[in-house]
Amino acid sequence: MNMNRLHYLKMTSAGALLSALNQQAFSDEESDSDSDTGIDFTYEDIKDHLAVIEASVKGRKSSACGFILMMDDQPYLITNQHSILGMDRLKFVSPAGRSIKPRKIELSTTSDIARLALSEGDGLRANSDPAMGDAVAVFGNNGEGGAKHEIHGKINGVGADIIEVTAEFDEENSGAPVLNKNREVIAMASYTRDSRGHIMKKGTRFEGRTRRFCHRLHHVKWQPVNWKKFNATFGMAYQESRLMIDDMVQVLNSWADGPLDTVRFDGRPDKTLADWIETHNEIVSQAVDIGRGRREFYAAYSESAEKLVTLCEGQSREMVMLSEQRGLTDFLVDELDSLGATLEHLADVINRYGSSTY
Amino acid sequence: MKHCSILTVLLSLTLAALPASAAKKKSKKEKEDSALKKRLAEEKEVKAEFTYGFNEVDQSIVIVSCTSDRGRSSGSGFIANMDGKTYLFTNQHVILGADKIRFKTASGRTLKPRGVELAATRDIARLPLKPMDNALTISSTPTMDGPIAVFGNSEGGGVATELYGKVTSIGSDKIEVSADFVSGNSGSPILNLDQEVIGIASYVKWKTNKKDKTEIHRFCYRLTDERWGTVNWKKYNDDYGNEYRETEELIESLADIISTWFMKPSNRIEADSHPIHGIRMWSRDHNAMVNKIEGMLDQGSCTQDELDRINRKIRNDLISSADDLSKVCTDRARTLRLFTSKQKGMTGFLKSEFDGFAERLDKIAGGIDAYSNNYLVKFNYFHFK
Repeated sequence: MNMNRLHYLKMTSAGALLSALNQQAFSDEESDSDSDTGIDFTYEDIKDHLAVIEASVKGRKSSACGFILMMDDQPYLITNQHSILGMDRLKFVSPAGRSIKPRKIELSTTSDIARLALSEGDGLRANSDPAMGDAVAVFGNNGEGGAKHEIHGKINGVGADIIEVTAEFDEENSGAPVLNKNREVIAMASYTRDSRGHIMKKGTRFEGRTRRFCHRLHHVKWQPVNWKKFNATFGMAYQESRLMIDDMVQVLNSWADGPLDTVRFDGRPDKTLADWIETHNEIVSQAVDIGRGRREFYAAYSESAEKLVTLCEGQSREMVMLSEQRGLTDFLVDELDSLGATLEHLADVINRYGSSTY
Repeated sequence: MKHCSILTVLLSLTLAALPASAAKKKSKKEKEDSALKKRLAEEKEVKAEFTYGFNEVDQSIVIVSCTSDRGRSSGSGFIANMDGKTYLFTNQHVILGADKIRFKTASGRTLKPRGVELAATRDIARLPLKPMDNALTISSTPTMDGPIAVFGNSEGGGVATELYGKVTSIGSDKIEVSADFVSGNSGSPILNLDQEVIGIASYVKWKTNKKDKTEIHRFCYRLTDERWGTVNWKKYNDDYGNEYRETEELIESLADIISTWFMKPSNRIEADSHPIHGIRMWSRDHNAMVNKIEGMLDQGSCTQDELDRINRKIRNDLISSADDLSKVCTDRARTLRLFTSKQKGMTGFLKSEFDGFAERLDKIAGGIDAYSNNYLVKFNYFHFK
């Protein structure tokens, strides 16, 4: 087919969902020339300033990275908001296992950064002037989460609030410090994003690429919060939606093997979803393709899909309503809205897929 | 855009379900990897010719972030001097339809432009700024095969990236370059070796030939020899921005709809709550019809005559659904043409955009008609087992 199309280059923000889907990552183009980066220190040299965030939510353990930074001569533990929000259990320790007890929590109003004031101790120094091409190293903890210890790379993107690096850190490294060759923190490893497929990216560095972004720490507006209250009102619901999205994507990936296949789930889904999986599998195990039973089967099948849709839509509505409440940071307003939108997308996908078997 | 990402998800899910011929894929991937390596090596060579890099111009590179009811979008821009004044340059299509626009340099400075001027025929907007030391210079003379650098917000990642390439062709109002700019780079400056702007990254065009090879062309408007007109941006955007985005969305949704429907005439369409009235109404009617057809599934046994009669009825319903959808397209195309013919204040760029939309809508209508005339007229829903 001969096609001739025109596409403008305006970019619409990609759904958070995309990063949850397994895309083949293309190893970075500059990694081959990274052997001499000018970084002459190692994990051992800075590990005293690293922190491990051990958390669990609904019986699921997680581990994230953090580090101690001197800001206005005060030590702060810096990490991502998403690593501490809505957790049932939260513990901060040094890589050596020493417990860290923060005094209070402040949140960035605009990005996924939290800082926790410490009573004493020393920390890393910050540098607010990253330059394109500078060598960097990202240092993760040695907790159970499987974060990489030491990853070298370069800065390959500079923005007002974030930078991009070639150092191939994973999601588990989120919250880890990004240091320059002078051992100064220039940013915090925050998230990865898989390039969305598009014909215009064919054959370019953006095809099937995983990009890695880090928040800069200068110019951050900090909002002190009453943590207990803030977390109960917003944190819990936020984390619940994130888990639900992960679980739904897992369910969908398994379900996508075939509309009439049994849905499998690794790990423990929450009760509602566990019940759904059980009922749904029972329905597909009784699939009938002929005669009167066929119609009854499809009615039960589509009702099953509908249940999952209702679940996503309900949670989506809750997120949108919550995002309109007072006392939220702008960052969390955006997060809740985008979680709501992702859940709505999922509802749409399930809806389509659930009716595709007819 | 929303529908677009749903499609992507669906696609990824389908792909996950088909782990077929992994070995074949691998060799293809290896080939692609080595092609990319070669491309990046060439880029490195071009980069080596430059005596400056992004760090020298970071204060002039702008990241544009827009929000509207439809969600967020982003693009690029740059600060340059023209006619003795300092302006922020970006594409018209980057800012059209946005309720709120934020301009921030890659170095962190928030910019507050004092108005909007639009190019008469090209997709460029220039927004007056206070005079600045770091403004770039504009050149009117691109060199064929000359090395170029593109710094901008690739993929809307929120950071400026560095891309290098060469000028591959020169036209009176635009140039073509080989640097791999992508979505989000719209509005990026195309810089020559002397740190002068010779164009603005604007659009990508592609063609898939019979051998399934894709040819991609990247175009940049030139900035000189153009007429500029000041507009009341709020009014201009109210008058046209929404219409522009809505039509764009309509065309995307139609592409989604026909890709689902053409797979199987009795497929349901998930657009019952689509924001665009025509699509919503059609989707509801269509799905009601599909439900009715499925309701006939358990009618028991019948004679050949009865079967033919039912099939004829279903066929007619499907054909009339196709007619309705085709009419949604042609009606919109007609309204658009009427709309543009009456508007005097629209720039040449926007007018040609709307004309292009109308043309595409007519083409989609043609596709639906062909589906109906070539396929649906012969379609039998029920068969004897």
